Amino acid sequence: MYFNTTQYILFLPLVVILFYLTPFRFRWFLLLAASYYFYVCWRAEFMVVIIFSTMVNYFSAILIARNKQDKRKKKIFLVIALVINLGMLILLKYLGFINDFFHELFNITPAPTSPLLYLIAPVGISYFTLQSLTYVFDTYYNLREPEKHPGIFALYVAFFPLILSGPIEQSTHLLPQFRDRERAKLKSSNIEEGIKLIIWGYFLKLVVADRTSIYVDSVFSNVDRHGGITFIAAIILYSFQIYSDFAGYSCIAIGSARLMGFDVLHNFNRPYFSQSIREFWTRWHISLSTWLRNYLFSPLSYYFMRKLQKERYLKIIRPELLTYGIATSITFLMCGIWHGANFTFIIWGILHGIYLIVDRAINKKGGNKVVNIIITYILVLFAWIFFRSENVHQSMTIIKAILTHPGSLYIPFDSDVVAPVYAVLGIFIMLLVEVKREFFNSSFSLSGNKNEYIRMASYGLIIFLILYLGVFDASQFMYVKF
Amino acid sequence: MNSQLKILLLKALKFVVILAILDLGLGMAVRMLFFTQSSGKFYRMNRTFHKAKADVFIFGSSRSNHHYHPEVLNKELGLTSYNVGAQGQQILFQTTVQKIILERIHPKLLVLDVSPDWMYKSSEANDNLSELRPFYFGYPDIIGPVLSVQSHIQKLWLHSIAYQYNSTIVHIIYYRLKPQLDVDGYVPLLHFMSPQDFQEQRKADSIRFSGMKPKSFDTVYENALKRFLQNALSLKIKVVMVYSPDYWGAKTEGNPSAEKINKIGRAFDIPVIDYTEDPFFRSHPGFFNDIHHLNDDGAREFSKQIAQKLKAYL
Repeated sequence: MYFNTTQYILFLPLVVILFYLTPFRFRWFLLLAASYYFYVCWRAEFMVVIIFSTMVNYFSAILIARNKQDKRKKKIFLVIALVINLGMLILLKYLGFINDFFHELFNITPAPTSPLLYLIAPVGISYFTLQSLTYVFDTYYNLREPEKHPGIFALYVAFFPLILSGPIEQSTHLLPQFRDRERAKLKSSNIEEGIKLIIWGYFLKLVVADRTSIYVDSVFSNVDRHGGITFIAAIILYSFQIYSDFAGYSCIAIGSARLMGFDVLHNFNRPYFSQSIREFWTRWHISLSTWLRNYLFSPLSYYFMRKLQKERYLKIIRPELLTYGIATSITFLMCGIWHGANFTFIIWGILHGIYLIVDRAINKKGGNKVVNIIITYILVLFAWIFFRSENVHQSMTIIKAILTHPGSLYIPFDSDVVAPVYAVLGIFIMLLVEVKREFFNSSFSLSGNKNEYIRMASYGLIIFLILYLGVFDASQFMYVKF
Repeated sequence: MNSQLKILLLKALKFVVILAILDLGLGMAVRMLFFTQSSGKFYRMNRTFHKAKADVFIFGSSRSNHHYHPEVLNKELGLTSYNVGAQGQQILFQTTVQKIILERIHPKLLVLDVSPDWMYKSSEANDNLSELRPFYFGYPDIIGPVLSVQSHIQKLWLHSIAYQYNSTIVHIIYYRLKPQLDVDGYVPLLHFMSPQDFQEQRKADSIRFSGMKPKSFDTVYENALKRFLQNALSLKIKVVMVYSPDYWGAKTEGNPSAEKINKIGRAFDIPVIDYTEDPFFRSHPGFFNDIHHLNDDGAREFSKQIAQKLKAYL
């Protein structure tokens, strides 16, 4: 079930009420049952994958911990866990893409006709695989003891607010919370904070994302018919669509967990106000960028730092820059691939990698804040063209149109009325809130006001706006498909 | 009772009260804004439900709205007529509007402008039923069951006044700034389709329909059509079904959906007049605004022609 369905709006309070009515020692079971039910609502067959993944990682961590002293054995169990987890991900998500690639380039794999090559990837597989691997890595690096209770570990993998699209939690942060009696006590502040986040999440999704998607989809489904100005408008709207869709999802996920006292890491921090791409990646999809930094970029940097010992490479490149360049390229290539089996995502990842390397090489500091924000936003926008396109050819058509054929702005009408006005209205309200939070955080606040009635009225106002301006067609959250 | 629980329950109570006050207060403002409109589609619907009186009522989608000119019909038939056609609306909407009208008045004739594909499942048609939401509070027993086609728990949401007026504000502002004229519900289209328009729209239509799955039927629509006919016949009101002219694309012959419509028409002994592939209109592109809609000249010509045929059934 999606977060934006009435089914979830009924499911969540029911689970929260049962959670507080259930004695502490049985709560893990209640949450696990609720999480599995939540997941089964998609497709019962997917449960096989999640249970298999849980078992593999549970036993891998125990075996790794048992062989703490034997580095070789420890490494073997880590490699086995990695091979199984990533193998499952490749088999279920990327096999068709890999086959098509080799078939088209070298004709050495079968024609893309066998349905076995195009298995449907279970929803959330990219997320729970990374979250499970976090746990295995943390055990391997002795950052934590393995979780002995299989039920609590299963809950860590399948916790319903996070299973579909994260935030990807660190095992050292989330797992202990399931055993924390103090945290599990009913606190009105947690309930209020949770509801506040959920309301804002629904606003972002229903008022901003789903409104902007109407225009963006209509442009991208008829690429041949539009000019550059329309594409620029569509890609700007898309930047808000993807942000509000995913940030909205994350807010609902974090808020849902908070209702039961769980503290989940925030995933977004107003990324379009970043002054550099480096800053952008500390504000956008924070849980993924943290995962990539901790478990891919850092080990790679460490490895290449030891290998690259020369004073200069190609006479000009310092070894630390080369190390950074290689580690960043690999990390962002993987980041692109993680998003989906398509070259458009790979190019998007590579572009961000290039931005970061250039940023590091130039190492420019200071400058005008507004100019920095605008330049960063334009770079991000350019990369979004690839991310949103169906294929590379479509991206190229769009870039070519932007450069050579401006055309006129496409304005769709709904009974004569300019349909995207709702989208612009939603974005305006969102930006109003975000600008206030970014630049005037210490000034008067409605939702953070000390006066309870003002706070509640501000939540009520957002609910009113959702009901008055939102789209209620239960459309899919974009990041679920990644 | 746990002190935190007490605090929470008290907070929840306060929040519900604040929410109700906001929904009521702002909702009433929004409602007032909605019902004081003086042009546009919602204004026309409001007039249809509360004021419109005529001997002949024309129902249908945008094709009905732009094809039947009441002034021409009045002159040719010697009766009064009113056009309640609404863009993107299909049979479920028509049956609902008909029921609301028939509670108030009993016209002599109902013309139902049908489209050949109306019996096929259409999520778009179901989504468009949302336009009935603002009128829910006036006709909960008629509109409530229709809206449940979209979702079984629509009724729950409809308790909120804000939700009843969802997605109406831009229309309200737009038509206040730029009033749209209509003649007893009829909205004229003033464009003349050029050969280039024709080619472009044909291409757009081909793209739009090329990826569509094979169409399946929806018995909800069949039953709605039957109800439309029954409602009228039980009050001894005559009904005629018409497929109005289309420049390209629409077909009744060999179309299973149109065959179902015709079969239902025959079962109720309702005449069906078919203009979809009428050679006169197909050879006069100047009568069209676009490939599916007549312009004002076309509407006048068609209204003249259809009036002659309707006379036979009065």
